[in-house]
Amino acid sequence: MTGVDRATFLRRGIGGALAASAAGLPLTARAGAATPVRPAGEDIGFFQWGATAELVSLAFYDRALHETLDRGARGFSPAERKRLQLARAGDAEHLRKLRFTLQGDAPKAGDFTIALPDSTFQSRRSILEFGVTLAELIAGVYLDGVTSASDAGTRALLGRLLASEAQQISALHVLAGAPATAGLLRPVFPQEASDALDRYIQPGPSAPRARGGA
Amino acid sequence: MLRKPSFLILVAAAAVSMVAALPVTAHATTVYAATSLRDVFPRIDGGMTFSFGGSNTLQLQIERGAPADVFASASPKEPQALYREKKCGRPAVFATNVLVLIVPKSNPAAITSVYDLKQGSPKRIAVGAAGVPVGGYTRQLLARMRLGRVLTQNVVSSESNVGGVVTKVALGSAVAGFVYTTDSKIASDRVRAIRLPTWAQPPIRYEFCIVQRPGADRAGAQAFVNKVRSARGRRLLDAAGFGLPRR
Repeated sequence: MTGVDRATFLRRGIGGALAASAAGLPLTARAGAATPVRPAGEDIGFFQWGATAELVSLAFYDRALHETLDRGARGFSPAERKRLQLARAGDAEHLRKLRFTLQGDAPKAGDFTIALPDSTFQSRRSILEFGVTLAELIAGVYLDGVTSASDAGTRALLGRLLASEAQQISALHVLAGAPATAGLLRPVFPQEASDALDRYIQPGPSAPRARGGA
Repeated sequence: MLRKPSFLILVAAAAVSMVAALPVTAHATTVYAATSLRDVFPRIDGGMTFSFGGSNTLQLQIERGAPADVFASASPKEPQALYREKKCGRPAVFATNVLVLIVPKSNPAAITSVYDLKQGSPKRIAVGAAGVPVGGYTRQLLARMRLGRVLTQNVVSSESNVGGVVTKVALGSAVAGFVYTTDSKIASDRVRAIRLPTWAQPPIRYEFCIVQRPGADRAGAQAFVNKVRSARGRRLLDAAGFGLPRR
């Protein structure tokens, strides 16, 4: 992970909090009707990473909902399963917004395969732990974008996504029996974000076969 | 003693002139193909006449009437453009690839990750030019990883095809370069490949099409296309490190 001093950390944390508070339902609702954000320079990377990560998150919720339904519920009540479904719906909306921005450059089904460890789904605790870890990773990248993206449209959209992701984290904490706010979010920088996401991404079915070396 | 060979030469010359006068000449089918296919295509069919180069350059040559019968490109963009211009038949995907970062075997800059390219003093790196597929894919990948500055912070050699990138790195003129995994395999005695994240890989799809021009050898072109798509062709592509589309 790239180092960050306390001042930078606090600045980014405040920036993220401001963006999160500036974002809200009215803004979220408006985003779909607007023209797409045109990310400048490297800002496109936030959206590409985000779209891929939201796909991973959707795959996580899909499997978690399947496992909690078909395999003895894993200790989730119907109301709690409903909360997981709401979180999934939130991610689907994030993905829709990111795809709206990326348009033809958005990742597509078949570009890669999502592979989540089986151990993630063994218990209620492991499901919630993974959910929080993934949501914090995603929120951390959006938080980095809120302060380091170069254009205002990108920062605003990432702020709205961050606010929504923060709500998901709170909900998962509550399901896990922890306080809704279990500490400040920290920004996640490109190398850490890339390495973390790549753990869950395998080459697609048409990709060259992996053979030692590269 | 000298008369017999002279006679034979005359007979041969006459035969050649007769053959040349025939409306359909017996010649090898000409395949214009991306440089990254230079190793595997002759293995699939050694009887073709090959012209390898950057896909964008080959596209331009075909647009200007070059005598190609088949065009095989490292991206869909070029054959799709020719198809729209009615200069080739409908393109089809026949292989896929992924990008890797290569360094010389000696790895003088001690590069172990693409992120090393933005650390320390400027380095000499080789990439495909923006118009050539490998260059476009490289820029896409770097943008996804928010590493676009790698191309402005370092001393960058912009190559007209992927072979140029491999050569620069293999000879030590560059300390790193972005190529297809298949190229790293061909030069594996001189370069070392460093994996790039799967999530950031742009989809790399090879497409080919049968060129439509007066006098094109369409039968020969179709035969070559069939060989590439055959079980043997797919086996050879796989062995060379390419990915294969579903049938």
